[in-house]
Amino acid sequence: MSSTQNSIQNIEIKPSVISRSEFLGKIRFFTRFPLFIFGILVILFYLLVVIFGPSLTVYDPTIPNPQYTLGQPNSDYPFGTDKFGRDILTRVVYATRLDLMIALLVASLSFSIGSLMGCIVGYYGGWLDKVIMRVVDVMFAFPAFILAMAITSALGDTVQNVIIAIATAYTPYFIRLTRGEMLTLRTRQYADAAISVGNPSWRVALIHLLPNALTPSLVQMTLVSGWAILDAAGLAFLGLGITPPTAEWGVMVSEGAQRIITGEWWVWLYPGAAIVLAAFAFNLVGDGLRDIMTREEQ
Amino acid sequence: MSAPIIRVEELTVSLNTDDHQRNIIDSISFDMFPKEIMGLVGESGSGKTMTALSIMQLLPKTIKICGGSIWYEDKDLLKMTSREIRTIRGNKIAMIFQNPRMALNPLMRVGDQIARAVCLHCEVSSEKSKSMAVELMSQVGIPDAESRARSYPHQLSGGMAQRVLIAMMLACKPKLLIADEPTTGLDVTIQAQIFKLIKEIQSEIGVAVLLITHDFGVVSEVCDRVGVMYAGQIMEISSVIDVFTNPKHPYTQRLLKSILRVDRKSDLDTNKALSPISAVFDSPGCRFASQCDCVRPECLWERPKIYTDSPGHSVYCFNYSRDNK
Amino acid sequence: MSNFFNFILRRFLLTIIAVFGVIILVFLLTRLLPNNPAALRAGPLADAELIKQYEREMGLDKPLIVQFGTYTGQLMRGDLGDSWRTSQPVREELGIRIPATLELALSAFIIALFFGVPLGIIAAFYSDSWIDQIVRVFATLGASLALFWLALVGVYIFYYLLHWAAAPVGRLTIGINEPPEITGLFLIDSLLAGDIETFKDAFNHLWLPACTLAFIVSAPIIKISRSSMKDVLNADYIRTAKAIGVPPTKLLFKDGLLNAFIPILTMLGIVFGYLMGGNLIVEQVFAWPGIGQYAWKALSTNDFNAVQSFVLLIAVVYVSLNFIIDLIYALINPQIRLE
Repeated sequence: MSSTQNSIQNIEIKPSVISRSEFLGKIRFFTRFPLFIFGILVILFYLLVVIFGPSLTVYDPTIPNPQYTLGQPNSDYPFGTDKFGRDILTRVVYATRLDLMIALLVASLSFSIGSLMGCIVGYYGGWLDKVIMRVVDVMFAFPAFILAMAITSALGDTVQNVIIAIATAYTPYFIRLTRGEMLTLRTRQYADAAISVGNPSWRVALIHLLPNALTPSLVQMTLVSGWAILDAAGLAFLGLGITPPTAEWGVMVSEGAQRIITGEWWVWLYPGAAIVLAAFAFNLVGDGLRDIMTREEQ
Repeated sequence: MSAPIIRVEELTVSLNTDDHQRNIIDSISFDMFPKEIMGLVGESGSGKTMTALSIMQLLPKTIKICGGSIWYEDKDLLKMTSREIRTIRGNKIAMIFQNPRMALNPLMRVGDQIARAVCLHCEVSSEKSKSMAVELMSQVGIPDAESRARSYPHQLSGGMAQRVLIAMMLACKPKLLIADEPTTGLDVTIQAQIFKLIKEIQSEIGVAVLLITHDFGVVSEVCDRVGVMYAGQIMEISSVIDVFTNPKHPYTQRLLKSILRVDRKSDLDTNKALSPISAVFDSPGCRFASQCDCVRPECLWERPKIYTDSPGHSVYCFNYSRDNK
Repeated sequence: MSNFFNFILRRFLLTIIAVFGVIILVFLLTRLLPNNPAALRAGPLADAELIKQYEREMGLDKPLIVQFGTYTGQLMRGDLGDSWRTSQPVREELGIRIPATLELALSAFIIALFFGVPLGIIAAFYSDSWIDQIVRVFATLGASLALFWLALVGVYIFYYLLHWAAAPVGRLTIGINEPPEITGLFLIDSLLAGDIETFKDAFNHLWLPACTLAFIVSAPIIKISRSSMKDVLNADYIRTAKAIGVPPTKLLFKDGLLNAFIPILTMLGIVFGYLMGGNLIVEQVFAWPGIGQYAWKALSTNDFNAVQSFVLLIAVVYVSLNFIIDLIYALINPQIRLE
């Protein structure tokens, strides 16, 4: 008797709003990934800098100030000044805009193009799949940074070209990931079900299957954001892509590199630290997302 | 009967999940005697395998023993250092597993794997251990053992792999062999052969066998005694004949009835007559109470005491305790 | 055995195809992208006449397929063309710089290997403990460090402040002669020649850039060692080995490491390829006279033929390494070797 009552209670329709305890449970679940939370907070901080930073700084990022060149950090210039007397803090803040934009554009470009291509070749297979996967294999024969370097040097030094070059270098990662997912998804029953009720094949591939194939790519996208920052800055350090006097982290470190044996450490330390912290945050979030997803599967 | 070789006393094992601790084995006790084959039956998740792994001290990291003791020759296995337990494993107590092909190292020749087991516990030269390995292999019925010893696991069938595992475990003539569903994933004809082999070995070298299975048919053919487990508790322990002719515990009765109803198909895992084990793990009383036809009020909050019907037949159920008779 | 040879043959053919693909890609990169290589070579101040002349010289006025034929024909003969900057054959210029890069890459590789693999294994063995957490944060940090910045921090601390390392200008202090060339690696050559002074000087120059590179590439080595070791430790055959009483050290280093070795090996190949190319930045900071610095000079002077050859070299090294790894893989794994 009591068991029938139990089962009736069980079929009662659940309220669609998450209950308080469920919400607390979710919070507690995430607190077990403190590094993930830390990464999120750092990225949020960078976003705040992107939005409000420039309006809070009093100096201009590019206009030289001959009165105070290579100045030590002090209360007026917390990060010091570079050889043209420009405030390094201001330049780091302005550079955040540029570098984060590059990171996000590279990640979303390579993600959207790569996933779409992966989806198509994974679902339809055939000769197109063979050709594209061969090209992907060849692209994997180059370290991503070298490929981006070759493309940038062929395209010319602009921000836009840097984004195209790095995004091209990372697109194969997404093609491979999404294709692999699609190969398993297309054999699932709900794919057959979607076809049998008369959906055209492009609809099955894009609407029914692709959203389910994107999870690993989303993790990858976070990681690629971090790598893109490192690559863009690395190219700029070599004098490729983004060039002085633009306020960009890699450019600033490169300018500071000339000062390495004269001891003006602040010129290169702060912009470099900004790069590392940003890349670290994206990596933590990417790794954290992967951990959370495997944990939730369990 | 002589003194038991293994005495499990009030063993409690728990799994710590995010929210709370769950006793997946709840204070179970049983004895094993030399040279007997004892079956441990129950549905998936009833704690059979965890019981076996507790004896071997091979529990996964997330699962911890939090009470009780396991006595082997006057020593508590649970209080041993890891160095001491290694002299027991493989030497005194050995275990074979399900999915035998996965249980062999893919990069080592099977003969070498057996020889290693020999070397670990018996002081012999590596030359000698290799010839002993070949001997063991022919002893467990592997034809052409000499050349088979040079194969790698992927070249063996599942049945052959299980024979290799048995040979490996018998290397030092253990006192107790634990067999955890040793025929899962094997063909039916091979299953029969493996059980036959286990019986032969048991009578030949006099090892006691703890056979873990969810198949009552196997129990009736192979075992001398049987323990019935449900949701981490032992419900009933008795001789195989008693359990089939005179089952006491309502759970055992229900189990046997359901087997008869589906006519000889005795696989509990595919059995629809019983509800699956669910949230009963948090119950302070008998974990079968919520499903039991003869449930009493005290069943819900109190662990039933052991009731001994005849020598060697024990039931954990309030329906049989003295004052309720 | 036939299975083994089939496997090797198939891999070899795939490698050849990949090399061919790499050549096509490098070729297309220069011919299809909007910038005219002739214009690049002529520089921003050149008039149309000079550009035309260069186009004819470089064969750019011919159809694409003819150009490609000429290019691959040259490559087959081992001819990488001439550098636009120095008018010397690129092959020779790269050739004399390879030992410097190899010495740096090999040292970094060995350091990263002996540092990363044990660390990853320890983290896997004590998985989810505080040791594991620290190793994981360390690996993530390593993956996030900008190579050029780390190199600068290293130079600042170990050269400018502490004077533990030699000045970041090349492989030897000026005035010290190169050891007689046998391997091209100064550390080994100086020892072979019994010249301790040169050895010390070469070491002082080498250790900092090598450690910088090793620090960066140890991150993926740690990660892959940890995760593949963790998988192996959860495998059924490890439980079997425990069940017969195999002691933990043997379990870890014999059963464990051999089985975890295959994914680690794949990562090692990727890492070495990265080292050959990624030292572009480190060679720049330390003025290391290797192929990376040569490529950088070529980049900054629009010497596109040299850049193209550098990229080609890196990709071919990378693809060949993968082939060697497949060979080792086939030798370790009996499933391929036998049957």
